[in-house]
Amino acid sequence: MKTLITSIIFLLLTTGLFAQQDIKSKISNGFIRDNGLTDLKEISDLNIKLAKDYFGANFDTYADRSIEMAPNVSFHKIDYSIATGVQTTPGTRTRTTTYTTYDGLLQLSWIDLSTFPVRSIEDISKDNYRVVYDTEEKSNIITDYVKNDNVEGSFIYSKNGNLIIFIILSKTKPEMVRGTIIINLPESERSEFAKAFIGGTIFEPNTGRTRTGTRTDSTRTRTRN
Amino acid sequence: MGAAIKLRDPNDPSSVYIDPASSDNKVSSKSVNPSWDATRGYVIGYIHNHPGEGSPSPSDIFNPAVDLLEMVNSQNIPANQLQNYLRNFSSSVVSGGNVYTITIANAQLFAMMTGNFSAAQKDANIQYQNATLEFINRNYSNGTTTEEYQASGESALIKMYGKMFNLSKQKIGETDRNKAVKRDQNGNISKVNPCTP
Repeated sequence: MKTLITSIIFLLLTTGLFAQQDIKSKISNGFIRDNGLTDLKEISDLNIKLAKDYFGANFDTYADRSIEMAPNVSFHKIDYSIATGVQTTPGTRTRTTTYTTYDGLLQLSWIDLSTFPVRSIEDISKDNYRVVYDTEEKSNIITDYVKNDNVEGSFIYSKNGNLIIFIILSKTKPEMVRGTIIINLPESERSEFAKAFIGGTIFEPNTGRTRTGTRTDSTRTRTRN
Repeated sequence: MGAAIKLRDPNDPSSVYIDPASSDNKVSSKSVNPSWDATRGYVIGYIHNHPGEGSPSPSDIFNPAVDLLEMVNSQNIPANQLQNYLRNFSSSVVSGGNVYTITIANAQLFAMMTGNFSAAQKDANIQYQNATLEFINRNYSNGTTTEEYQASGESALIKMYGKMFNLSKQKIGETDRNKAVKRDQNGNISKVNPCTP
């Protein structure tokens, strides 16, 4: 038995896998297609690639960027496509929509608020976004609220970076998800993406419905950033 | 609000004086001008406040520091002055009823990062924000007190650059109780007596 336990611990340590929250049982969102990445190296590699692609020569080579595990957090690879044009093939009626797809890294944490006093999204946002207000010039900060029948949410980001921070409160249950998305979107597209992500969240377990971002085009040409 | 800490004599680390306070000495912007010459002064550190009550950020470590590699290469600084600088540099932050002090731990790493920081500052800020929120998301379900918010930033900053600098913290009004801020492998923060082996 001792050998078996030692072997399991060894395997867990050497493969870099970790347990995380079962997010699919808590919420559904079209951008979240599985229960999350479990390979620390894969998460770390994606994190570094996104930073290098965005900051280029201004990438911070000296900081420790290692990913740290936690049972109440999950990481997900996501993507977001933006239509860049429509092409008509000469001599035919075929229309082709072209898209650029942007990869991103989502970090998500679900929280049961049933034991806490009720707070507004505005109050929670003001508290949670302090670190942005403390480290960025005000003129660089973009923030907004998203409210629909299911959720009340907010997001914030700096024009200087590729990080979007968000909070989503359920309107029907005392639950919240909050997290961050690193995605190298053009600045003009970030708010639209954040609104689609927040607005497409549903706090009902395993519904499998509403996949935000699906398209009906018959033909697509894609480039990936 | 902040002020530069300078030496009257670059060969004498006890010749410390503090420049008049200026509201321009914000280390988060490029208004800080570290220098090591007779004209602009021998700047051994900065002291400033954080009205938002946050803990030190990457800017508070590296913006007040002289580019050591450039200083060594271009000015032919005497070895004793370089030692004075490395041993006595400090960046102090007054925030939320506490005083933080940053000092140099590993001169080589610190010098390399300082030289790179003006280019890497935006990336560093984003990493710091992300790491601070990671800590908050892991540990605090419904808001943070000032102490918790500060612990989140401390954990983020030490994770990112912990090999390069030392961080200590003291409550204002508590004399002789300066504590070294340490981070364990799970990211948790503890305050220890710096004299404890």
